[in-house]
Amino acid sequence: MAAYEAYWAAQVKSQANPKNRQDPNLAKYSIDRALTDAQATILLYRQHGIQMLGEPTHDAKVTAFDPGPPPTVTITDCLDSTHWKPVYVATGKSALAPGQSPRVVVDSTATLYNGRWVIRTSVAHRDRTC
Amino acid sequence: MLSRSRVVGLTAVVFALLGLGAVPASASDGGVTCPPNQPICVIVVTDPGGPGGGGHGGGGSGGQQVCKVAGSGEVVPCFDPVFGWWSNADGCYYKLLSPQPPATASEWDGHYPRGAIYAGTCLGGGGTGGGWRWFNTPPQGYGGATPTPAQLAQQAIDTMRLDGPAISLTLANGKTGLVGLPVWMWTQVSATTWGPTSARAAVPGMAVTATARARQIVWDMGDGHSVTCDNPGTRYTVEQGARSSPSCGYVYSRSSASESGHEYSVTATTTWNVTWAGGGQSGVITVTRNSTARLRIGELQVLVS
Repeated sequence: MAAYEAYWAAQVKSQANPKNRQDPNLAKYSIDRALTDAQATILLYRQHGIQMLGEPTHDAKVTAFDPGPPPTVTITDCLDSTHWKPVYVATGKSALAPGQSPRVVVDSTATLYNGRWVIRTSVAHRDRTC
Repeated sequence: MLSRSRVVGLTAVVFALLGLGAVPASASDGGVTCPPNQPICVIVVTDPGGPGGGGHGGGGSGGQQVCKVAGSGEVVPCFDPVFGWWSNADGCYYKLLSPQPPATASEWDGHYPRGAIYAGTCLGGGGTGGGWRWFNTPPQGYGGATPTPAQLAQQAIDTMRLDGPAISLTLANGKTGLVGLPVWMWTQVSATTWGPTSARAAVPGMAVTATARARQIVWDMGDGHSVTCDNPGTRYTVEQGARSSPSCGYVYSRSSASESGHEYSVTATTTWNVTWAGGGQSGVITVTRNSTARLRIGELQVLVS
């Protein structure tokens, strides 16, 4: 869970200033899809002059454990982005597409890799509100 | 809860009628793009052929190659110190994983030890954020644009472990300090908290070595004041009694009673100077790292009868 919190904190920090180098904790607490999805998001926002302001709130629980190897934990979260909004850096206006629920289910897996717990996948289900 | 879901459902119908789609599709769609596996979708404005907003990072000194996003024609830097090299073949940056995943990792897909696994960071929205991929030969464009020595230096810094201070305060362990009594601040000195620590990054034909040394720690004491120390501080021992720190200290003038949790939140930020050299150039890059601690300061009550 500590890795999950650190992963999201690093995403929030990195997306607040996509033009800057990403938060070093991102690569520390995530690998594979979880890392590259986050990086691709930073890249997309950098290309299009978007930044995310504020921060989301979480209601995350461990929902499964697989002893592996490698040991893997499934985390289910109800992420609330009511106070985490995309804006255009240039104008400060909202870049949020209309008609979205602010609260969606996020399913993630954490795994032991190189002796450290890291997030390997983190999938937001935009069609599943909570 | 019931009424809430009904409202959501109704909203969905309204948007569907307006043709907006309650949940935007996963791919780019009429300006709506959904970053891979993020909870929200955004409206993007694309400027084909423009600088792409990429600005920093540059295209490297390779020059000739133009890196573009297939669909929109946006130009992207051919090399990014974090993401690696852009491939025009599939619109992803690729970076060789170091170390490589173990032979048992599913990404090898039976190929081990042939080829190598790369981390792909893909632009274009939709479900293609990238992830680990196996390639028999390096992806298109890999190693094409030569990074500048400064970009390589950044890459070296990324591999270093640089931490904020390992905060030590005279009044740690939940004990209460007192207004007017000196507080000593210091960090345990190690390669990751004060340096020096070195790392090297290389591409064929060029290598850069970077060395990080802490320059100062700014202690934000949580009461609106901050103290800058150009040293790691001095470890407090009980023999010191109520003496002030010879190198890095502070005296609170009011108690932390009105703070949240009745404690001050102390943030210590280390500024690292990273000097680098290689590829016929040299320079200094500044990096900051911080850590926090909490500190309770009480007021000495003097009773006058």
